[in-house]
Amino acid sequence: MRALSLVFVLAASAGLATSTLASTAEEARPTPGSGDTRAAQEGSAARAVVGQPAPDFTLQDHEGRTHRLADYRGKIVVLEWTNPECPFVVRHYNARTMQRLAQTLAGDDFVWLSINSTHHNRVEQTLESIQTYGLPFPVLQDQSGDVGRLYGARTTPHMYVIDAQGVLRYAGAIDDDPRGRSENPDNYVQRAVAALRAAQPVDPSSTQAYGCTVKYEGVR
Amino acid sequence: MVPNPAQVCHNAFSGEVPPGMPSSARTAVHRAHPLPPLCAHAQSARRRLLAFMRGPDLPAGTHPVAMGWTRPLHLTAGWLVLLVALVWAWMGPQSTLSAYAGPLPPPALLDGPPEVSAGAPVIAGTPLLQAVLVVEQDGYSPGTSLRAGAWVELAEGWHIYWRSSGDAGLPTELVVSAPGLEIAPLSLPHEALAPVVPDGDPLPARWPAPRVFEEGGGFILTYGYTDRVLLPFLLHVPEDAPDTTILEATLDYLVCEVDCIPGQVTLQRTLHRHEGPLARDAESAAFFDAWIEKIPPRVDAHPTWTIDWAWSHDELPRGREVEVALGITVCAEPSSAEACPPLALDERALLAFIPDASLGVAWEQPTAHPHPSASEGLLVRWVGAATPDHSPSPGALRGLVHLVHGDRPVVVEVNASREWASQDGGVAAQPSPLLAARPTAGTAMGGETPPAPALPRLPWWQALVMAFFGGMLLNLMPCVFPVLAIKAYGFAHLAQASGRAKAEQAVGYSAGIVGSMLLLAAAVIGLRWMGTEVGWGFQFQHPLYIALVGALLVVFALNLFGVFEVGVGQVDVLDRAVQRTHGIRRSLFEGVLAVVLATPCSAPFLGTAVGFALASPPLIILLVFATLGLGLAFPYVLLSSVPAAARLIPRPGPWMETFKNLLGFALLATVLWLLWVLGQTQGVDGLIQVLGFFLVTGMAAWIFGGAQQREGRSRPLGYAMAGAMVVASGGWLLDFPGAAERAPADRLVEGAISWLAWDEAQIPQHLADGRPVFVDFTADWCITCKVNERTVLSSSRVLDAIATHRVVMMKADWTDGNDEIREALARFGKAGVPMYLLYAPGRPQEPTLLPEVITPDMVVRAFAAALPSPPTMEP
Repeated sequence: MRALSLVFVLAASAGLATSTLASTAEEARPTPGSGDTRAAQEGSAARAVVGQPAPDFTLQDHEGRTHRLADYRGKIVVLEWTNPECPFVVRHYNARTMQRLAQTLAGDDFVWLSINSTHHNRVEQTLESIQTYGLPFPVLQDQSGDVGRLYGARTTPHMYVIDAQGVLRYAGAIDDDPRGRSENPDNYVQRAVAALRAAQPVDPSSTQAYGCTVKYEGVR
Repeated sequence: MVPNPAQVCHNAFSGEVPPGMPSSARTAVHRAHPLPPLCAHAQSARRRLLAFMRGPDLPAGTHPVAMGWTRPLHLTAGWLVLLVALVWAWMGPQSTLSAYAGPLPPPALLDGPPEVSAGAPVIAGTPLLQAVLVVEQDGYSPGTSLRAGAWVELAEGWHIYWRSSGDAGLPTELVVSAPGLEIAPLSLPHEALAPVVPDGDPLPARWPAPRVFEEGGGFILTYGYTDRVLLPFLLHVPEDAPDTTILEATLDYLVCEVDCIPGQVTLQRTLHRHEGPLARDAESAAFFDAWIEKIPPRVDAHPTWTIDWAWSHDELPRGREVEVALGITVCAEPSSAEACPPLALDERALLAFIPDASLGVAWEQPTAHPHPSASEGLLVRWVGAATPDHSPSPGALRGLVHLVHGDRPVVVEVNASREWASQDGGVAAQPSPLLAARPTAGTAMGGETPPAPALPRLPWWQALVMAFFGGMLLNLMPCVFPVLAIKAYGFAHLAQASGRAKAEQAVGYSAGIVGSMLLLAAAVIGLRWMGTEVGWGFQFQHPLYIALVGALLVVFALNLFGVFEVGVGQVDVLDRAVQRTHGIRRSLFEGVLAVVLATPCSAPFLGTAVGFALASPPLIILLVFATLGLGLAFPYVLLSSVPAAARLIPRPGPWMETFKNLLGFALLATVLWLLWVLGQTQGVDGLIQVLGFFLVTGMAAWIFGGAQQREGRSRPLGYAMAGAMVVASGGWLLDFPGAAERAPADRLVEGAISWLAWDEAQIPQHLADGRPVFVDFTADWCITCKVNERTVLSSSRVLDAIATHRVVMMKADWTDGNDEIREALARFGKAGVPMYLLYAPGRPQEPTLLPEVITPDMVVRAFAAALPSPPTMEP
């Protein structure tokens, strides 16, 4: 009798425990309430603010050369966050948006740096994509995602334009056409660089970037 | 002697050993006389249950007797069931799964009636996303409106986005057309009917409330749907509607898991005109009702709430900070709680506010305040940065707000806007009670300023006094509490005992504490002599230590559950001497345990006293630690020496068994905290290793307990087996990789504050930007630190102040040990965490030091003192 009651009790508790765990597991994906309200992601986490000096960084590119942002003081710097696995980036690369833009804007006062913050990216993959799409600019390797987080880069592509004095003047989308429908989209980067060269204010100075998420190291 | 069957029956259930019968004979009795089926006691289920729950009846002054091996298991199982039931009941109403998931469409909607085969809908799309058009009724009658929608099913793990995708992704777009019919978005009850959408235009999205997805450790937030969703709309049927029409919808989406795939799918469905009213299909109606219920209603159209908006500007200034407040009045006059449930922001939602895209203002998450005039209401305030760019549309606050009304989560849609000013600086609005003025330093300060940093140049006797009081206060810290509770339990025994026994207990406990403190001090001296600098709580930086302490606590808890006994071989008639020896040994052990658990906790005075000690010669260290120990033991010593205290404790009885088991659970709660600390540093793998070790240790304790019952050779064999199991599993499982393999700092901690890793070199730059810097020196194993972070630093007042004063929050995490942090602590006279520094702009060399016990008031005042007035955004 006692053994039976013990078995019953254990079975009941096991059943309850499993059902509790099952419901919590279901809720655990994607993400139910964590119990805390969140502040906006801007603020003290990312330090790239339009109108403020762009944060300095040092990264190596696909050929192992070291690039430091401060070394490019005196030039207009365009940072392009990229990930050749993302369909938005592929669409632009196939339409040669970045390639043509980089070549059109090229000059002694200009440098285009592409940055890949995908945590599982390997240099071989970068070399392959440079080959495939004919990319004329260096692709900096940021597997740790530190520079990406520093700049608050959330999408690929995500564009930043820094003026010759090192101040960030534009951050956001490459153009106003997320779905790729327009024949002649308004390219914000081209606008920003043209405005800087003409010593005009950059307008728009900040737009909502579109694209895939930057693949940082996963869920905590 | 032949036992009386009735006696055996009774004893078997109450577990009592008949007087004079040795425990081994009881086993023999059970074997010889299996339980008579017609046992009077056995038949009574109620008595059985009582015996099950109550436990043994104890004669006064008797040491609790360990019953057979099934008794503690029964009790533990009973408590486990209760615990699981409670957890399950608690989790049920709070399940958020029900908030998002909805019903599947009834088969009739998907397949269509078999007779009208021409109207069968087409399921189109890729396997990742399947969509179909569903319509509430099979045909349309002129002069009526019909609910329809795009039913989307997604492959597991994939999601599509809401009308605003968030930080990344692409909003989902639906374009619907039906020649001869009119398309409009849904409008909810109490709302005005939405205008018809011109053909070919995307449908304004009145869709179910989306989920929030986190990526990159919470760095990237997007909003959308997983699994399945209905995107509903309305079909208006004019009088001159055609006989048949093709309802066509194009769904433009981006479906993502880790990778993203853009796509477009065109859905079609043929509909027919039906003269006269159609019978409503209850199942279809229920399906649509369920999904439409998930659409957030417009807060302005709420039937009972009164809504007031207040903006900081009548015309918005470009490039500056703007504010908007939403006042919701639930009840103007006081009323009962049932008629007027309280309204608040939903703390359990991942985001209180989900913003729409392209509003011209970047809004931060809102803060909630009590409504200034309503008896029951809520004030929600947003602060935002207006874009410096020229935007064609007015600046707007638009999105979804997660509220909780009573205990029901409610999502509402908010929409308010203001035009842009033509001149710089905008046009300020009239002051409104909803946007009360922010306090400036002059008004809020009063006289109190935070203390300046102090270096430990105390006279040694003052340090001793601080150590003594610090030790006393340590008793109140959550780490030591279980031990105190155990002592209180032991007190029940002692209360009946002689003065001599009580004194012995007190001495034993004190000796245990002071002795371990001296050992700790010796360890510190030894480590320092060897060249390793350590601080208070240093041992918690080593996972092996945590594992061993945890195992010890688990074993202790099992002892309290009655799985085995400490110190006594025979479980039998008690001898005063036997009890005393057991009592003293146990008190000693409890004293050691108290010290072991106390070290990660910091109490007021403690930090300073220990800081002083660690900077002094070895003799002072020993003296301070010993005084600390005396302080820790003092309350118990005091209690046991006061005779009146004994009368307050009830006489020993069955309640003691229950209380003992409860204490076991309290100890297990402390083990949970230890596991959390370990999990932070070692991750899930380390956690499983340690839990495996606990499991084996538990089994070993059980075997040990069983061996205690046996006679002869099997007993030492049992002991040996238990010991071997522990050692073997310990050697195999307790192998932790070094701390260097852990990811470095810069972790983004969940919560409302965006923490930066502490970097002294960066502080001047922030101060030059005009932002005060607050540095939180903390560690995962420091409970006081964690409590402060969760209750004080995350309180809405402090969050408000952080946003207002643009404070940079830095975290110096000492969990793994770090020389720089230890040096910084020492520089300010502290030996351990927590430590709070506040740097004011313009004064990078003189931070203010906040005390270990902080309150939101203190922090807010300190922020206000660090900066005279709230800054405005530079264009």
